Amino acid sequence: MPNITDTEKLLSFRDQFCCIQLIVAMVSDNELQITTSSIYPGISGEGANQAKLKAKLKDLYYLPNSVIQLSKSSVLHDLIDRYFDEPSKLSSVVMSDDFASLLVNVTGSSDAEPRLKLMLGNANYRCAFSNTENLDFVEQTQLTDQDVTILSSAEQGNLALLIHSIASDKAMRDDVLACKQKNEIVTILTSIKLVNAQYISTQTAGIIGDYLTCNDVCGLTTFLGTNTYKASW
Amino acid sequence: MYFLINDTKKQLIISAVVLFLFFYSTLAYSYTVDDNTTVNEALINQLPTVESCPDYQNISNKPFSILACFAATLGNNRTNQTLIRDAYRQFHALNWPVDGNTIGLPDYALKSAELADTFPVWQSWPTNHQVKHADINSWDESSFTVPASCDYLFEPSSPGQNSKYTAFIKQYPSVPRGPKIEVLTNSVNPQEDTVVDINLQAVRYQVYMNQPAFEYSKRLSASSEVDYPTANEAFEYEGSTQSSERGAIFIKAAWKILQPEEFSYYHKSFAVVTSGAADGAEMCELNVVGLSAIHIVNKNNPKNSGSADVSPDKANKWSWATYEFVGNAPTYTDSGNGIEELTESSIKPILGNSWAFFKQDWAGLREVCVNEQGLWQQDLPSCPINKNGCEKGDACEKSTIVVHPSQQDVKNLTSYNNATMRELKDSVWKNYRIINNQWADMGYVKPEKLENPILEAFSKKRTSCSGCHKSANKTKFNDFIFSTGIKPAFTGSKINLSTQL
Repeated sequence: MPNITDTEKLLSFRDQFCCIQLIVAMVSDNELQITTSSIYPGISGEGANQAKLKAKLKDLYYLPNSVIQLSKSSVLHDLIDRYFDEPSKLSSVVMSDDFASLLVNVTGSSDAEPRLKLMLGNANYRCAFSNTENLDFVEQTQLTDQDVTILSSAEQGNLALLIHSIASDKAMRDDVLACKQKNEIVTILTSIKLVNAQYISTQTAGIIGDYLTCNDVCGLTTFLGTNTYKASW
Repeated sequence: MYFLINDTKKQLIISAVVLFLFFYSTLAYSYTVDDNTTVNEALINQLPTVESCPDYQNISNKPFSILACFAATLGNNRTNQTLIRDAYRQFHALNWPVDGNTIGLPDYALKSAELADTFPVWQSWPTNHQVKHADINSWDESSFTVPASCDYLFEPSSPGQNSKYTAFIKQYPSVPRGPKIEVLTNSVNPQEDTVVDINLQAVRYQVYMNQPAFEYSKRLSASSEVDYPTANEAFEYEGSTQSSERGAIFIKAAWKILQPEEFSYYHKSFAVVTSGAADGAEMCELNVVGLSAIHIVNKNNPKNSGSADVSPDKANKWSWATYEFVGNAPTYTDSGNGIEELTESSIKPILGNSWAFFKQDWAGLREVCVNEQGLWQQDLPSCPINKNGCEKGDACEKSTIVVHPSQQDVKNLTSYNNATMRELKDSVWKNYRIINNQWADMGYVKPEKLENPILEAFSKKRTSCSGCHKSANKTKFNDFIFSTGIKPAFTGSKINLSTQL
């Protein structure tokens, strides 16, 4: 049996993976994105109407769209396999109510933009590029003060799909992380066929490659969080 | 009196009470005035309040609802998607019908979507010309100046008889009427280009400003450092809610002289339109004009974190939404890798029998615009597409405009433009689409390229609203607005439509 700390860490990873799924849902379904973003101006504050809207956002949109049909090839499946040792009956996972509530509250806060970028950036980095040899992971607590590239809206969507693809395929993820040179990273990232049948651009792959080869976790977290936030929220 | 005089104590008490009541009534009066002022400003500025738009609190989860109010700022979550939503809402709110002859006040009791056309709020706003020439001193003044060449249109034909203006408007009952008519004297855009429709009539331009922009402009002096008011969202302060504040808004409109067969498609207005006669004299005519394109430039982005000390362009707190009439011109098809081509099916008009700014024979156009590789190349010297037809001297040629397709936010734009067609199916406003809304995001301009085919026609490369207005962010103009760059156009006679027979 895993100790409680490992369980919490695993559930935290689960929440972040489900968060990636939610981003992909909003990037892929234009009407969903329009609907959720139309709620945001109404959830600032603590009134009864705001509470009702927050519940609607969480229960009708965030939680249902965070459900992942878990494939055996995913990183999360691998982690559960290693730390729980009984994933055979596991078919799907969903974001915890606490994490979904946090996401809603941050979305309604007056400093929503930087907080969401950080939250999504940590989730993106954790699921796609962090070390998963064990469950330890230290989240970034602030965005980098350096400018990060803002991609075109289409490329922002592709970036979200790329992160999801990497997190859903442990073998692919291991291949990416095994690359030591920028050109290797660019080659492998631009070869990944996304679910929309497109590929990430060489420029975007190069930016990721630069961050990875410099081990600039804060920069990469900010880049990923900023651009996936822009595509989805 | 004797009693009062001799009873000093009582006299003092009464005096104190009188003084207190006077002081209190002054306080109460000033509170009431302030309170009314706040309410009125909210109404004039179309800010969401219980009085103006009680339905606004239910607008969440109804992204395509059309109301008379719109948010003061871009909010806490600013993404390209929310910017398009805000562009949609501000467009429809500002097109709300004005309340009678009250400048800037929407008629909150009406449902805009149920009207075939409106005299929109923004058309009642003061124009740049009126402010520059100090034609009006207060926001609610409905008089306006027409060039001297137009005087004859407003004079009675004979004593006690109607003016030509009155006779003219009676012919066109479907044209919305409001406190003003358009005074259109400018047919040259800032790029020194003239856009000419297929009837060989030049497009005219006009700039309008909302109350915060007007009040600020009125106080400007030649040496002023320009910083138009920025919007503020409502916020909690020491237990009470501070009202939101509208920032400066400028609207630039492009108007086309309409033929009767075009009336049913356009938002229409009455206008006096000047032009030069062959002998150099100025002519003035009454026309029905239709809205071809519009920019809404709104200082509603207080959270742009770009700072002035890094780069002036990064401090841009404006959003630049641009819209056009859907029947202006055909659109190139993006065949991939950025290659644009025109197809025979894409040049078929979508409204009526023709486009407003494109009338070409297909085979003839291919002959002069397709290069040896078989690709469309509008910069071939022989190709008339997107070229200023007034450069060769003499009379202008009709423009041949082809729109570059949006490359950004296509799905969102389609959703909101489809919603406009659906929600306003009985109104001429269904024939207008959002092209996009440009803004500065952490100092980065998004989308990078944005152009309106009528307001920024003939640009050789893809251009940008804020890119162009960067040149206004200098000592001379400041704050991205060409406020002092407007050419002196005319002086003339003041007209008040309420005095017209």
